[in-house]
Amino acid sequence: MASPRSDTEFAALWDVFNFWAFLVGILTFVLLGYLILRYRAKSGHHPQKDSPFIPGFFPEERDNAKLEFAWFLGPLILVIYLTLITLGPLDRLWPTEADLEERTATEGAPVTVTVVGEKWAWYLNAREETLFTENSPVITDEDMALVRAGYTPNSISIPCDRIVKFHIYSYDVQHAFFIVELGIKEDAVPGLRITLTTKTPKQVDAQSDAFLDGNYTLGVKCAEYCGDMHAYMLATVVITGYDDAGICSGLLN
Amino acid sequence: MLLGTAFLLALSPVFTAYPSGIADQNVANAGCSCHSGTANSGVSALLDGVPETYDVGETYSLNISISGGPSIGSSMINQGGFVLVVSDGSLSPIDNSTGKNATYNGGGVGGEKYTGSDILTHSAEGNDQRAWPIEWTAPDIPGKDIEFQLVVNSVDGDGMNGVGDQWNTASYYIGAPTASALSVILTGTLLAIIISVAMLAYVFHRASPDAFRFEVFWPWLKGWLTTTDHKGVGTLYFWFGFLFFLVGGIFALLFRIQLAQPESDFLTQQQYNQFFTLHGTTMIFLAAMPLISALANYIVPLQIGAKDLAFPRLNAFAFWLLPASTILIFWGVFSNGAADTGWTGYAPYSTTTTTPGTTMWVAGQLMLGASSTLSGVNFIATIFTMRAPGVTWMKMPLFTWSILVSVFMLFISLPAFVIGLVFIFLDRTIGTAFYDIAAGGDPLLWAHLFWYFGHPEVYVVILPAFGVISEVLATGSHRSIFGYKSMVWAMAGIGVLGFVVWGHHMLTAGTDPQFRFITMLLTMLVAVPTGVKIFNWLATLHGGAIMFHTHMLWALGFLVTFTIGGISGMYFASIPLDLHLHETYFVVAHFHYVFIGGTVFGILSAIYYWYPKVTGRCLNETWGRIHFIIAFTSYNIAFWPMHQLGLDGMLRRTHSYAESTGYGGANMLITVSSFIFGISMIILLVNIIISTRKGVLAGNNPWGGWSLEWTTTSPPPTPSFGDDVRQENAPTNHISKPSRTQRFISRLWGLQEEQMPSKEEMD
Repeated sequence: MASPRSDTEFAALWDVFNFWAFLVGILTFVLLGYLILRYRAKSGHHPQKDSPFIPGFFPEERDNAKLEFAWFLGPLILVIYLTLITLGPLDRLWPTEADLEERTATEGAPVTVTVVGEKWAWYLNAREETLFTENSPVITDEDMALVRAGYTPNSISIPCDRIVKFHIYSYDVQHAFFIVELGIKEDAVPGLRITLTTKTPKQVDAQSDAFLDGNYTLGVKCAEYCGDMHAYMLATVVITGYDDAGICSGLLN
Repeated sequence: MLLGTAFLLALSPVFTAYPSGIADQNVANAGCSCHSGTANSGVSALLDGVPETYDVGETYSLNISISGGPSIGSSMINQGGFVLVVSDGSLSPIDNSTGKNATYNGGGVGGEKYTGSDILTHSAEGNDQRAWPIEWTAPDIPGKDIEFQLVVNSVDGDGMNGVGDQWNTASYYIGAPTASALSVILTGTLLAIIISVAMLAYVFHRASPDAFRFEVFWPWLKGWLTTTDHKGVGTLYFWFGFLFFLVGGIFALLFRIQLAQPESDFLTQQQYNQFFTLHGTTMIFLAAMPLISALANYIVPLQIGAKDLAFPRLNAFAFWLLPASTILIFWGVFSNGAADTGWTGYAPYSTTTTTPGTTMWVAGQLMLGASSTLSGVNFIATIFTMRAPGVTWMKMPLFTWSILVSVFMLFISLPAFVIGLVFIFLDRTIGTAFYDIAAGGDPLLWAHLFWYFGHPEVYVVILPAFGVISEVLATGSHRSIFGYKSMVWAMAGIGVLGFVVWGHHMLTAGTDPQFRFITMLLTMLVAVPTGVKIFNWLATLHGGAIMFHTHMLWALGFLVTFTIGGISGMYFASIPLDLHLHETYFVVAHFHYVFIGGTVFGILSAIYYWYPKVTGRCLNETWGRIHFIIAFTSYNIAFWPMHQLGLDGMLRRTHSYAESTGYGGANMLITVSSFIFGISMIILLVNIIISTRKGVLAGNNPWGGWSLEWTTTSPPPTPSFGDDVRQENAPTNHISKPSRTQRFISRLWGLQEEQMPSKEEMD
């Protein structure tokens, strides 16, 4: 099983959402359980005979404006709070140029990885592509022939503890580039360059099966249905530069 | 009838299942890994030397060749290639032009998958020729049916993979011809239905032979075929929807078998893809929508005191479009490949996939759009113009309100979907390029059009369930609904918000950051009116006298499961969480908690609640409770573990998964529970049939409800009401006295003394 790592943007928010989900769920279910037990009809009740309703008569309304306003306001405050705490991670996933420059000063220059999806393989290259760009993102047949010849299919190595910018393209149909352990995915859409910024882990579990000779392997899947081999459109991202304890040694940075 | 059945059985060899079919059809389905694009009819894949029958262990010489394709360059290199898979026996190379253990796309897990099959492909040397001699050794068991699947690439010799190259595929057989499992299953289902109807007819015939005389039988059948009465059309909608609820369920169970174990090859990728596509389309458009239409048709006129719907003939026409569109949607099943696009039909996959059924699947959905439109016109006209005196807007039953809001939502969203479908249809049939990026089209246009419809569609099917639950909880707890007005406004609020949140389905599609952020906030806001409804329902129970009839059990079950589905929906609104959870089993869990735990539970509650009104008899309560307990438990065991699978990265629409992923245990549990859930619906079906004869007589108002449908007879007459129908206001203080806690809350919020019930009233 490979759920997202604890140092991802996903993990921090996951815990907060779980807390509130649990709280709201428990509140609702406890209330429901209490009401069911407390107000169950006594034996001998007959639905028709005991009904307060008269067929064809709109029943007397029950409401309580303050109570109803309270459970309008409560969820409203909660969702505004949950939206606001999402803003921070957003800045890290899609930083502005200025933010990225600032981070570069402290965290090192970002690595750009170009990703091209084609039924049913990922072509990967650790550089920014010039054949097709943000302003000209359509991949022609000729471009694709060069991609197949020049890119690595289904595997790439990138250094540890570095900012990584993924530039994601598709040649044919929609795909989605999904690195499970980093908790990130973005679609690959024909005619679009989609970007995503993340950071490779500083420390990994050296006892893990994914760790071998200072390299840590992350699995990549295609997350957008793309045809017969969709489930097998897999790849690996090998993160290099760890010492035996799984700490980024920085030798390759 | 029996002659007809015999005739269909005589046809059945056409659909003979292939008992030893190729387990791994990746190669045949994929074409060559390095030559993408669609199959080209100008190329033929030929396999000579396949015997009509085989001798055990005998080795046969076969010859693979290519006919047609692009003209070959002068270099005479890179002329072609092939991949051949056989279902049994073994393939061997004769010379160095071929080799075993083909891999896919240069390795990876996909490549490893192939090595398990008996497979042969060309070598580097063999790449320079267009014919290859090979050998096939027959299996050691006599009389097996053998299938060869061959893919060839005709290459233009320029050394550039893909550019100008063409490929095609062909199958060769020894023994019985094959049919897709989907054809077999649906043919079997069709036969089963025909045989069941024949048997049922025979039983009735034994009891009353006179009823089967043509002059008696034909008027009965003609009555159903030509009915325009809202109750008759509603009944037709119900049986249509219920039948396809079972058919969609069978699809689900089949692909659950595939997913029960890791690395399973019970279904090929193509079969699996077609199954989940038809499962989604069937459940949404052919099960949920017709079942809701059934409730709306039958109940809405009764609740507002109308004699019928405003346009009865249009109503019948809307229904009869359904079977016609269903034939189109399933057309591909019997023509070598149903739609395999997923119910979302994302372009440009949906415009380029070669399964012949996809075009018809699109056409069928266009017809469904017409059906929904005609049906919706009726409800709007009826509710606006035919309400009985006293049924004012703010004294209208909440179920009718829910239908009104959902029909408006459908009207506003449906045009976008229909336009999108027309574009796909034209792209597929006359070569337009609405979604072809190379010709200036835009694939994301479909995603926008589809989800502009698709998300409101979720509310279109859930709002009527809200309406049902509001009715059932009030009647079942003997309390008028808490906050009637805020319930109406909450539905309207959901109706409005439903149109501005479609973008959350596209948070990973590279959309503009501001669009994404606004979508995130608006999606979160949906929780506000939904929360109001949940708490209002809880407050309705407060101070009541809850009776646990089956319809009430489903309604209470709804409160649990819909709350879970609603809460899990919040996770997708948050972009960083959606980046991981999108398209995983967490989504599958979420929308099944909403669709089944919300819509289906609401419909089931409605069936138990209004069945006495329709038939005059109650469903058997004991079997109803058994049905609820089995279904509610198995449903939760089936869908709850999907949350964890999604967190662990298991993706939806995944044909298979490696054993090392560790998904196996949970998937087996899900499959077993799904079967129990599916089988539990048979209890309901039997209960529905038997109770029409043996159920307890219901009377006009078995549950003690207030709305106008409970004033008329069970079943209601035709026309449903006379001219004297009228809804009155209940005398005040008729409702049972407030509880101590309610009085405490009222005091806490500082209600005025005069608003408090007097001591006499409380006594």
